[in-house]
Amino acid sequence: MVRVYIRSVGGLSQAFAVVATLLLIAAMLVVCQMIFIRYVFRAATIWQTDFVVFAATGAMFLGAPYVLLKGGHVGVDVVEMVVTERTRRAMRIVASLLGLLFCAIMAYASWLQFHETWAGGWRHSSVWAPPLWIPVSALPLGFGMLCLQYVAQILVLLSGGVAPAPTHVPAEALEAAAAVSPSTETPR
Amino acid sequence: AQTVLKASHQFPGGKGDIRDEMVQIIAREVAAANVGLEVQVYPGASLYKPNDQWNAVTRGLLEMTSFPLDYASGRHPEFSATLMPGLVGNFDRAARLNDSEFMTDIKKIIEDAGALVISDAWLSGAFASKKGCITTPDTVKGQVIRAAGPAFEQMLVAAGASISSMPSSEIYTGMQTGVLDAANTSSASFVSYRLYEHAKCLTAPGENALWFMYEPVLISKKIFDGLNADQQKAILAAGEKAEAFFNEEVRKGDQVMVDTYKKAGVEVVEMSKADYDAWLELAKQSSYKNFAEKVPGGDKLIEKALAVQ
Amino acid sequence: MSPTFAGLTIIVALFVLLGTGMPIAFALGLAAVCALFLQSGPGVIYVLSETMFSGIANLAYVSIPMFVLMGAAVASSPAGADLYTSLDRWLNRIPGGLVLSNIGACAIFSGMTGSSPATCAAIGKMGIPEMLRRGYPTSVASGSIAAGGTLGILIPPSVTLIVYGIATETSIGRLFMAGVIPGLMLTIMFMIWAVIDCKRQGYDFGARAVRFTLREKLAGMPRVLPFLLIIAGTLYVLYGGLATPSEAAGAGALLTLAVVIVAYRLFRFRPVAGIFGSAMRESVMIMMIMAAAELFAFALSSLFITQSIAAAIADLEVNRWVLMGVINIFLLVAGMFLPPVAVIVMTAPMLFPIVTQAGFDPYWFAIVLTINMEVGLITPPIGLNLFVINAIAPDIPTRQILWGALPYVLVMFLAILILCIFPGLATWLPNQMMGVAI
Ligand code: NA
Ligand code: NA
Repeated sequence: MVRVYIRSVGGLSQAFAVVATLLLIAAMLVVCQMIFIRYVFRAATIWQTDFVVFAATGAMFLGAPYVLLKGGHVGVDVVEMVVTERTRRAMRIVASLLGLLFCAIMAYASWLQFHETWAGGWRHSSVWAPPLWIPVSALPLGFGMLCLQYVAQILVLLSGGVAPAPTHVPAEALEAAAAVSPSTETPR
Repeated sequence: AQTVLKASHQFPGGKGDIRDEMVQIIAREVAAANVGLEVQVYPGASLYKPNDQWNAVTRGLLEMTSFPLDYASGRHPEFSATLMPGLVGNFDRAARLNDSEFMTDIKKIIEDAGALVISDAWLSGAFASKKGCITTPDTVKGQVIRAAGPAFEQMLVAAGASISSMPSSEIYTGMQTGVLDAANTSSASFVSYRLYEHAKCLTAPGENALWFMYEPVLISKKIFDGLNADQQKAILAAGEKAEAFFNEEVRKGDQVMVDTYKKAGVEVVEMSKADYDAWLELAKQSSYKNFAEKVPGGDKLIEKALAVQ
Repeated sequence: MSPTFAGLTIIVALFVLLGTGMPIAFALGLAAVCALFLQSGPGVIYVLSETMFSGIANLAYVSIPMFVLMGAAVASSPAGADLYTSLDRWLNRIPGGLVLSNIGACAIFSGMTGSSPATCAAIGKMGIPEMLRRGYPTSVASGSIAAGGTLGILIPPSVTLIVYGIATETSIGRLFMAGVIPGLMLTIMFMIWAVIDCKRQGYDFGARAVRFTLREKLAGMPRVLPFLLIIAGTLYVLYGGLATPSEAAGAGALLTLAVVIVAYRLFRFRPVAGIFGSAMRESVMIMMIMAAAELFAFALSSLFITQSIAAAIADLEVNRWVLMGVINIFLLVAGMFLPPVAVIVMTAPMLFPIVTQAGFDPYWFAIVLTINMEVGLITPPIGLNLFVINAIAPDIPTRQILWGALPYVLVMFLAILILCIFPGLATWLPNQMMGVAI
């Protein structure tokens, strides 16, 4: 049961991450389209700025649960380094509970904001005027998912497993390091 | 004990910005009234982001704000009328507008949402271009322009301009590198962002000004209702003082802009009545039309505003 | 609660939360939320979400994921290694040539990617073993890479300068320009120290150098070409009237991806998806910290703490240079504990008015602040670059890494001093290119 929960929450976080990545790609392409249209055709760009801002912002909140899953949120480990293994495990549980507390408060707060923008039919004040609930929905979704992911992490810790602790090195940097192959002699 | 009222706005503090001055006057007057109130001013968006002030003040989390009302038009679409091209025209008419049926309607919406206006303020703005003088709608055709406000953007698109949105702090770089040909913003920004270094021609507000924005000082209704009668009286009196100061000073701001641009060798023009009417015609087909379609009772609201002499 | 007491409480609370090892973003957020609840009551729940959302929903901030994407594209290809090898073939014969090519490669690479840890990883992975193999002292090998990586937030494009530009409403294009000369100056100063340090430790340059023929030197050149293309392309978009700095980041990202994919023939799904995935993760990490820092800054401001500190500093009736000294110490301490973006979001709006009132140039100050933040990247307890070096060169003891990085901290202090004496180093180029500052 617990294993199923942990695995399905992980899968869902990953699905969110795919959406977040696609939103970032879309933001990049739309920025380029906007520059092109304006520079080459001197034409008006009505919707692009709003789209880019909201896509990128939404992506950040939607991607957060997966980054938690991968231990990619930076933390400070000065204390962790000097304590015993047992204390370290207890600290990780406490840290996860505190993280869960924040994410739960934010999940509720962002649900309130989402509900208001939805029920009030609020729009962004711009020419394009997209309904605000669309970008705002990324917050309750992201923080809600973060809560589920934290619960999974706590379950892992309680069952004696190793949950990815927040690293002090962005995981990407290490991956980047791994990806750099000293294959400099290959002719290109 | 003193009750502390927080007052937030997005404009530079202590540098003579007229909107900051208004809030500072209110703070001084309220303190002098000696009714157990203290106003703490947070300038330069140091407390709330410009757009977030509305939510906070209507909920009673923020006590006071000097707030460009159009920023809340996503929630109350009627507020777009307070940044509508050609609806105001000049300062004298702005003063008459304040007491019109049009503003009564707007203030009713503000109050129902949870805030009260304690000082009216209509700010004027201008156009500047690197290419030529912006007078008739034809003159803006093919120019890439950064406009202030969606209703203006709609009208400018209808005139054949290409709009590009960016924060006002990037207008300078935009005009310098050539991303922008022209800009439309408030007179104060035209001076503080030194756009005269790249502009060839400035269209000053004058008697036929297209751009006016309503930026009143608001107090949270929830907070106001919780004050005693003396305190309420002191706040309203302070608000009136600030408004009187505004009416006295606002024209000087435009003059400073004109002088600065002239000194920098920029050509300064004003729109003629005919230019203004041509824009108004265009606005009626674009921004006003959209407004009437989007906002229930929007056509009536515009009519009431245009009816003011 | 007096602002001083409230301020102490919230900062102690933050440190306790950070001490548990929880993510910085959530620690900042939780400390802020608790303070806000205590001060304003439960009603404040209605502004929390809005504050985080509108804190980062801004076109200029979109450039951060875009620059990160640019960095990820370069970092996950063999580009770093190629750049490093080509530079080495040319600089090899100069005393300290290898360490010079390391720092030079760091400067170019981090200049493009804007990511300090990625630079350390990409260049260090090649550079550190090679330096050790040729007998360079360990502290020189690790220190030069750790310090070289910090150049990324000074040499444009720079995420740190973007955040400063938004927080203080200064022009990002101009900030980038202001970073160029100090960036080059610091690069050269790092190089000089590296050579001195080698000599000091008795390293014999003459005996160790490897000789490369002209053909070998030229053969390396085509591999540097993609870099030149990316730099030229992005600069053209940025200063050629095509786009604002925020928009240019998007174009730069697409250009870099295209160049990297074509030049390194990454035509399969996995490597490209890997680039996007890692860019997404690093962006989320940075932006969550910034969104939470907005919440923290809001709490500090709400409790009137920011204003009280600012007033206290402003009232310090001291010489403006003493004031600048105090501010520098404050920034250094903050930078030691928090990542650059968080420090800037929380302190720039408070310090900016004080600094400009005291007659300092806002663009000059941005550069001084950035160098302070660079120091934070190579000092404990949170020194991203140190941790990366630790991870890619596990054989070098942490003590030695720290010891190797320390002199570069002093070099950075020297650079700040030089900038104080010659502020023109930061302000000349932007003034020359864009007219006198606003
Ligand atoms: Na950089
Ligand atoms: Na540090």
